[in-house]
Amino acid sequence: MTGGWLAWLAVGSLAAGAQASASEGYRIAGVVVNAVSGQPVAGARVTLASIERRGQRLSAIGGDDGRFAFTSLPRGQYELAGQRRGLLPGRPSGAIVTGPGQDTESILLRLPPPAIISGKVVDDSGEPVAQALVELLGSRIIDGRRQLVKDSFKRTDDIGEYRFAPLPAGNYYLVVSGLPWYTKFNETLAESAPRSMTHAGYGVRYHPNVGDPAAAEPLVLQAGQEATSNFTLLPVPASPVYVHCEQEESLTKQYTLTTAGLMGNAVSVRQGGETGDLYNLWGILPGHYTLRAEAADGSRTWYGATEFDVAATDTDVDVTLQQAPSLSGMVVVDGGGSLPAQLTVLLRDETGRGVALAMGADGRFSTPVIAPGRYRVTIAGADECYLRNREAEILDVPAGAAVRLNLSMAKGGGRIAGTVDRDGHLLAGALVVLSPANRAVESNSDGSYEFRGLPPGEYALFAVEDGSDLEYANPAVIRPYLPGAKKVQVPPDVAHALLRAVPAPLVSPQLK
Amino acid sequence: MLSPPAARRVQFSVAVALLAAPLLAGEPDFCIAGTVLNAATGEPLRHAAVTIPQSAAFTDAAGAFRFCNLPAGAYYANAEKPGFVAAGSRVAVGPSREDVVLRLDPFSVIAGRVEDAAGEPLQYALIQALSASVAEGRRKVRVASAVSTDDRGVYRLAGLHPGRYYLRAAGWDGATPDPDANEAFAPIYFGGASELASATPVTVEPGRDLRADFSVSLRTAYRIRGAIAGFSPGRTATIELLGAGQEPSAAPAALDAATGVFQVGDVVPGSYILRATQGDGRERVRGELPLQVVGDVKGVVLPLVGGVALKGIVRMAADSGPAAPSPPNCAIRLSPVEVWISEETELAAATEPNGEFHIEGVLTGRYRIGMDCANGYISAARFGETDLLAGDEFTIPPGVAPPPLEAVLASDGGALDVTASTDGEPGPAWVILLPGSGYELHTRIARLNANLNFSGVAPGDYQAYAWTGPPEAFEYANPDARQAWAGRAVSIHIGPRDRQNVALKIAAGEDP
Repeated sequence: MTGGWLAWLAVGSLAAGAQASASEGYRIAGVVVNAVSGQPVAGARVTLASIERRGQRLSAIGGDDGRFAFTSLPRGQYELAGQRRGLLPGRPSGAIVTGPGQDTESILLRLPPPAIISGKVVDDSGEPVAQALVELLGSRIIDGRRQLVKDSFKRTDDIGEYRFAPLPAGNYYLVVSGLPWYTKFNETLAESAPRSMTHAGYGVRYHPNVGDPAAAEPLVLQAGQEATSNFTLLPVPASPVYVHCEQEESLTKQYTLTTAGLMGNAVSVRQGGETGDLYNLWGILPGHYTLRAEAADGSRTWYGATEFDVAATDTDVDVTLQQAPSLSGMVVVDGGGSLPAQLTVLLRDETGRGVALAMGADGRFSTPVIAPGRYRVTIAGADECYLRNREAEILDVPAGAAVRLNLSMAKGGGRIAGTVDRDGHLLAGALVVLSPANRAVESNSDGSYEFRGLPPGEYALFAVEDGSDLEYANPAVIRPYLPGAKKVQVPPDVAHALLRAVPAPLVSPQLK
Repeated sequence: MLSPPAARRVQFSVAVALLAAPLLAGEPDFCIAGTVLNAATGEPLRHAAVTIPQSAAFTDAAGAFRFCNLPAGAYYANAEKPGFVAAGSRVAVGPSREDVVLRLDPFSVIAGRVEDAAGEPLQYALIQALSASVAEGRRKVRVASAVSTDDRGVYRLAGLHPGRYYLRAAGWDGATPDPDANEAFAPIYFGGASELASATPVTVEPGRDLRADFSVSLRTAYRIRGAIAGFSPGRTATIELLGAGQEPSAAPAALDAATGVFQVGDVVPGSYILRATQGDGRERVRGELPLQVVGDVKGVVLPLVGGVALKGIVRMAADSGPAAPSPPNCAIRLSPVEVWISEETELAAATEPNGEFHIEGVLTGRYRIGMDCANGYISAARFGETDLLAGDEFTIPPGVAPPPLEAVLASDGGALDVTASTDGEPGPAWVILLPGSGYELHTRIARLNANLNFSGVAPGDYQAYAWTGPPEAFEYANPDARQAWAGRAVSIHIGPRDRQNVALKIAAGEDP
């Protein structure tokens, strides 16, 4: 930490004053408000992090009137964020830029109130279903594409109720599965209890209480909105599935049973743990399923998976565990040379879950255990270089394998920077999109934006005013924007080519 | 290899048949019919499952059930339904029974809200219901149920059996409402006590819901960081933080299974014992370190020490005379002195023909010893400097061979024939002899059916008690409980080789 930064710890002067002169440094000040009511929020924790000097971070508690101020700041770009118990964290779009002529005195730091989804799950006679599995999936833009992400799951309580809170505003899907309680008589009275007890199950239900995944609808929640979604589980004929897993019998194995559900995404039908070689699944409806098993003993991990069909009869299924795959690899820079510090290899699986692998100074990265599956690979912190072997962006990790991933980076790459304006005024918080690089940034408080580490080529550049929902990596989605886009060329073999002052045209889609 | 489901079912059927075959065989032309009722309201329970051996049925809307074509005999009819404690009754048929009434007690619920000093709701607070029992005359507790508060600060502990519980807001459940705030709260019992010893239990009656709100004070919390010395990578290990009264803290502990490096977060200032345990059974190793937390604690080194062998010998008293039975025949029990019941199991050994015994794998800590000898009473017992007769707790120091435990067995004890009755009716009861000397090794407790004979009773004065109900109803090692029961005692003096009779009145096994 520099001496200058130490001096900043004298923060929290709450009076809004005149613009500081350059000799005293700059100020970032404003007021924390509830994003819905607009009312000031007292006692929020406000943090300020320098973008250029990573790891340098200041923190202050806002006043009772919601006001905060950071003083004596060097010229630069900053990330501002606020949080307060009872509200969701908030941050302005883009960075706050200090410097001559920049007004950073009256920032509104908006903290959204949480959204809530709650409801009740009952059976055909209106009685509560306890221990039903309620899965919450969020539909959101990840790396420029809309994806369905498993956010969370809950089990209903003794009166069939569940509650997801706090949630950010967004589009959510709910998937509910359960097991009639009386199917437990399979364990003691399999032969003599009526089939209505032993051979019953509940079909999967989706919001808004429908059984057909094609009829599922998203719950669209605004900040602070409270939604209710109730479900009725109807018993239908179903059968036991006996899962045999004869390895690692002393360990507790975690099982997840999924079936194809929402828009091609797998949804969970059952989750549970069992020690020994037999796992009984009661009440499974006819259909096609995938069963995953996982076991770990502290130092080793095993995975197994099997696909099977259930007809109207009892089914036996074998699942074989294999030692977890490992992943190791290396990032090399074309023509040798040193790597940028703090590179992270990010792997994202098909459910949207991410794995971050820190890279050593020699470019190596590894993890002894990774779940089998297909991953999308990106590199974070690579401002000054770009991935050359694009085919490495999709990584298949088979069960039981030791996978190697070699990433070839080209040093340098192009930089494109400029500003976004609307009617002659610089615009903060616009989404600036670069295609076909599938990259996007938000414009800063001074309207500026910048892309770095761009492979040579021709790009289309444009900005949209509210792009938080834009699937900017989907060619079909951005096609209507392209007629208004600006063509930008990053020439080959130009290290750090900076195309300065490229105004990003603010466009609206041209719909035919 | 698959075992066909049919084979498994045969196993179930055989087990059911053995357990529950009708006691008399006959022509199968009788019925068992009746009703299932909510014991708290008297209302009929629909869709309850009623089982008799080899059969099961649901109740109808009027709570009625019926089984027919049964051979004459005695059956056990059991009813269950979610939200109710399962219950059953013995039913003899031949003739048919049409009037069986099965009453189910509803489970109880304790619900409430947790807020901070400013009255704001606290999410992620862990609420525990501790059920108390008595073992060896001492109160012990275990966590019967635990839940977290939601975003409204609301919790709901359902499925509780009627009884007495201590309610404890233990700390965060692993998540915190404001991760950057470094705030936590010290454990607090419902009613405001900070330790179990001064807490007041709540009594939960069948089907009666109880409300219990908590107000907690958030304080700055700190972290404890360090490493376990002597750690075996990859083996299961736990880190626990014990607070006042050796009560487990809810502070989340993270342990790197490869290195033994650990961190305990959300620790409020106070006195603690940090404990690490690795391995199972006699292979267990443990380290304990007292810590005073007033700020972040770094660089803690917690060495693991293996269990030691406790060796000892029981000798016959010198004046036992030629008629003395020999050799000593004693069962030795070593139980950890802990109010909270964890996974710890009692260590036990029996004397060898030469009177020696040894107990392997004794971890450091406080213990209590029990010695039951078939042929006499313990007239002297020492562990190093500790007189085990005067006070039966002792400490096993870490990592050093403990001194031998030496005891003397005297065979000049007296005998006592006990009868006990309620209103002139002899009945089963628990009987205890509490020595006036206070020597717990001379305490005798046994089950009386028709009559009971104690032999080898150490000469001296005793208070004798008899009660119905569970053996743990009398917390006899607690002076307050003894005071409360004093009116029920019969005083006896037993001399050497004396034989006495005593008639006891049986008290109900609850607080007088």
